[in-house]
Amino acid sequence: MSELKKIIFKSEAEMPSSPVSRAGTLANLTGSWRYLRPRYEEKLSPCIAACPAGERVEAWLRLLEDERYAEAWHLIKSVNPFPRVCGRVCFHPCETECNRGQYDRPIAIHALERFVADRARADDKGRPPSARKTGKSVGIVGSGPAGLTCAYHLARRGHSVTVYEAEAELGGMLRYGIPAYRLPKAVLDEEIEDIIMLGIDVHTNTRVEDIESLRRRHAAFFVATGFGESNRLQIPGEEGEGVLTALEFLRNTNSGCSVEPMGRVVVIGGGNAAIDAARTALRLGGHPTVLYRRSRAEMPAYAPEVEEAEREGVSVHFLTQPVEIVRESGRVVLVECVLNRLGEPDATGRKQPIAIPGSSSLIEADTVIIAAGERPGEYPLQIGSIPDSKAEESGQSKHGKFRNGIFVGGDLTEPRRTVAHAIGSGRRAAMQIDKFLGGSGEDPASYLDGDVVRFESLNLDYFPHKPRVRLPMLPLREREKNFGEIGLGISPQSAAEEADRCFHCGVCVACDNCSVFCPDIVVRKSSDGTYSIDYDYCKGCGICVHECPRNAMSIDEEIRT
Amino acid sequence: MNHEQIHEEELVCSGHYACQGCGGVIAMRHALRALGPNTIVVIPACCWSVIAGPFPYSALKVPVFHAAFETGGATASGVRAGLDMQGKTEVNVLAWAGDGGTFDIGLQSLSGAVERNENIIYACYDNEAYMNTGIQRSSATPLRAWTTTTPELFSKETPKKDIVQILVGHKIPYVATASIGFPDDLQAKFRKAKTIEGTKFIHILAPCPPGWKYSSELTIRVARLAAHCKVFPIYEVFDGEHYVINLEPEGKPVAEYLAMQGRFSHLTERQIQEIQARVDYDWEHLLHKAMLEKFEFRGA
Ligand SMILES: Cc1cc2nc3c(=O)[nH]c(=O)nc-3n(C[C@H](O)[C@H](O)[C@H](O)COP(=O)(O)OP(=O)(O)OC[C@H]3O[C@@H](n4cnc5c(N)ncnc54)[C@H](O)[C@@H]3O)c2cc1C
Ligand SMILES: Cc1ncc(C[n+]2csc(CCOP(=O)(O)OP(=O)(O)O)c2C)c(N)n1
Ligand code: SF4
Ligand code: SF4
Ligand code: SF4
Ligand SMILES: [Mg+2]
Repeated sequence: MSELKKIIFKSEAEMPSSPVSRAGTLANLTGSWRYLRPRYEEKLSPCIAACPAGERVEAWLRLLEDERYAEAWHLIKSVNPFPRVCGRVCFHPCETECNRGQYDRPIAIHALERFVADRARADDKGRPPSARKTGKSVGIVGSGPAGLTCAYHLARRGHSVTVYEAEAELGGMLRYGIPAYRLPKAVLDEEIEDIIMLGIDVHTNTRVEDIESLRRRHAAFFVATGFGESNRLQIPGEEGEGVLTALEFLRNTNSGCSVEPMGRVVVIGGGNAAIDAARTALRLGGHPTVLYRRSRAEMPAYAPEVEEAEREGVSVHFLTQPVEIVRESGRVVLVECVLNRLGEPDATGRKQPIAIPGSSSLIEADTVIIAAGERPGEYPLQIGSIPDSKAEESGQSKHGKFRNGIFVGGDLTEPRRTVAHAIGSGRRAAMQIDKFLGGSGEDPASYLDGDVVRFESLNLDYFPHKPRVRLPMLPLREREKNFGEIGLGISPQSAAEEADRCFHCGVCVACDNCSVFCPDIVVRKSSDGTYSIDYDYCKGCGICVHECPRNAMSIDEEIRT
Repeated sequence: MNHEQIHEEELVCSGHYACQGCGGVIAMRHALRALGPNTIVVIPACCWSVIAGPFPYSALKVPVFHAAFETGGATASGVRAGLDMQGKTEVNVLAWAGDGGTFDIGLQSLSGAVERNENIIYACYDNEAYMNTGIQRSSATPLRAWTTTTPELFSKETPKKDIVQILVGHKIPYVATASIGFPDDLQAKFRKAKTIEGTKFIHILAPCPPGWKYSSELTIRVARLAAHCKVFPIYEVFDGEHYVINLEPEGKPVAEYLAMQGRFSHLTERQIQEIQARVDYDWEHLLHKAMLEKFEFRGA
């Protein structure tokens, strides 16, 4: 470039008669002044890092903002086959971690996930194509979210998949645990159907007692049999008529068995199963009371669900511990309770309940439902404690009882027993199995590494405060004596507005700020929408990095060799 | 803002001689982008005399006329007259001067040009001191600010001169304030100025990292805070009468703005309160002039 050349006058005669410029300033390479070097570096959004199912939340929010619904749906589905389920029942840790929560309120990610997936289903955007057959067969034991997610990913990679399920229908706790007012069965059925359509072989009413007998049929197995058994309270009177576990009760109602008139129902426990059982009893015409031995703060159930239950008319008695269930002519009549106070925290960090002497009281009941926690069924227990899937990856279980090719996941291995964790676990297991069978094992959620964007590193000047979308709910009156879904959908307009609140933490959205404010005019945008810096002239002021609203740039000391 | 467009319309050249993070360059970039290539710039002595580069180079892709410190208004008037004589009435004449060259030494030539209602745009990029010669105080330097001629113990005792009021007093068609923190607004004002016949005066806040003693990456943040703390309100005055406020300040405490800058680091709590009181009073006064009870939005 001629402009770059320095102009040197060899004699006065060569100079113009008056001082007139001959060139721009490009010969002055001001990049040599730089001691800090800006660069483009995308980082991980907290919502993505927090999603147990591994969804690339920020990216599909961006597509949603542009009303690119089908693409958003495909992006979610590339990782999670259950967005309609998750949009309804996931406890959304993504929202807990959402940076916008520290500014005003988090993005309503779950509502948007539900919106995208419900809408895509209505539009019927077609199904993802399945890959070429590999000729390898995998047996999956248990059809909860973990098993079905694993089946989905394996089938998409061309493996032949057979699912074995002890119950009459697929879905695990999604079907037999979570009540229909939170997750309508039709929604579940449709998402499961999309998975089965990939060509998955299904054996329901088939309890696998012994994996070794199936060895010849499958090259690998995924065991995700969940936590299907209930703990007992270990108090007198808990066996026998009028007492059942929350899982039994929910399973009965969820599978459409007729349930006896409810009357006064006492639910014992403080977890999600207790709350679901109480709200189900309410819908069956019962008058439920939940007894929990610690206080509200220690309650393991998801707090918003507890509040909703109370609004519906469930009464919750805290610091109340049953000590005996008393019967008269076979029927339950009284639950004897003591009042507790809270002592020092135990190993789990929760304050220990201590009975207050002489505080005993009696509560009348027609039915008692015990929700004292769940545990795995007999099958995995008999083969020793549960090996983690990591150990399986290397082909040897910690316990030496599993042979090569058996992988375990879902509630059986996850530190937190939720739907999204089960889905993430199913996906990771599918990748391990794919690799084990000679595939690439390449994870569709491979973006999960990297520095997570902290709230403090955003530049909030470019984000006006905006209220979070209001999530419509079925009025209390209309919830009585029916299992109609209580969470209602949102409109396309609210969805777009809500998605528009997203900061896009750590991701360049081509807003041009870096380029607009650069005093040295060195930020270039290429036709594909990416930016570069001309280091011949960048003086390293750092304005671009500071004014990037979303921390998609970084700056380091300039190292010159 | 579309970037492809940005690079085509870019009339400032890389390799210029401004310090890291200079607000004055950002101001020029956006002003020229709005005015376009059919513009002649008159630059009286100021940082920009240096930024534009030494002979035989020029950092601007439009003609520049370097002029004596006190002659911005007069030289621009002369350039205008010369162009008009040749029938080149569509060429924009932009006088581009610092605060020293505008508030102080250039005030009489500016007033003369303005009083004649010369068809020019006069832009003052205000960095609130004589920066080119090493941070001496000007009449644009704010109350209590440190400069080399107003050291901590004798920090400036008079408030910043209200240059907008002085220009408004001339009853010219258009007077506006703008800031590099709000480039869309700044560009809109220059585009508007292009269409108005007579003298247009635009007062641009252009923070200066070495002079204000803050780290260079904060230039835009400081500029935005000045507006949001009401220290530098963004508004327009038409025909010396009609006031329009273009940006609703978030109403942050002025202490936040002062704390970012080393030139205010010596301030006592009481002095900060005095500054806050003055800022509040001036804002109320501006609302009054705009005949508003409270802010009402109107874009530039
Ligand atoms: C009442 C209740 C409400 C819940 N609500 C929520 C909620 O709102 N949100 C949330 O995120 N999580 C919730 N959970 C937790 C969530 O349902 C589980 O974490 C999740 O379903 C675990 O998935 P999984 O695939 O590991 O096991 P499961 O869903 O338990 O599925 C295991 C499957 O394996 C089958 N099976 C067991 N043994 C055998 C065998 N030997 N052979 C063949 N099949 C077998 C079972 O029949 C079952 O279908 C709730 C749990 C309960 C109990
Ligand atoms: C008559 C005259 N006096 C003094 C100077 C030296 N001088 C050059 S620029 C300058 C200061 C300019 O200050 P300002 O107008 O605020 O512009 P800045 O440098 O701050 O951008 C001075 C004093 C001069 N060029 N001419
Ligand atoms: S603001 Fe958007 S990108 Fe950032 S954490 Fe929340 S949802 Fe994710
Ligand atoms: S704003 Fe421009 S000059 Fe400053 S660091 Fe960024 S690219 Fe370099
Ligand atoms: S400022 Fe905007 S365009 Fe530049 S990196 Fe950040 S998001 Fe991308
Ligand atoms: Mg100055």
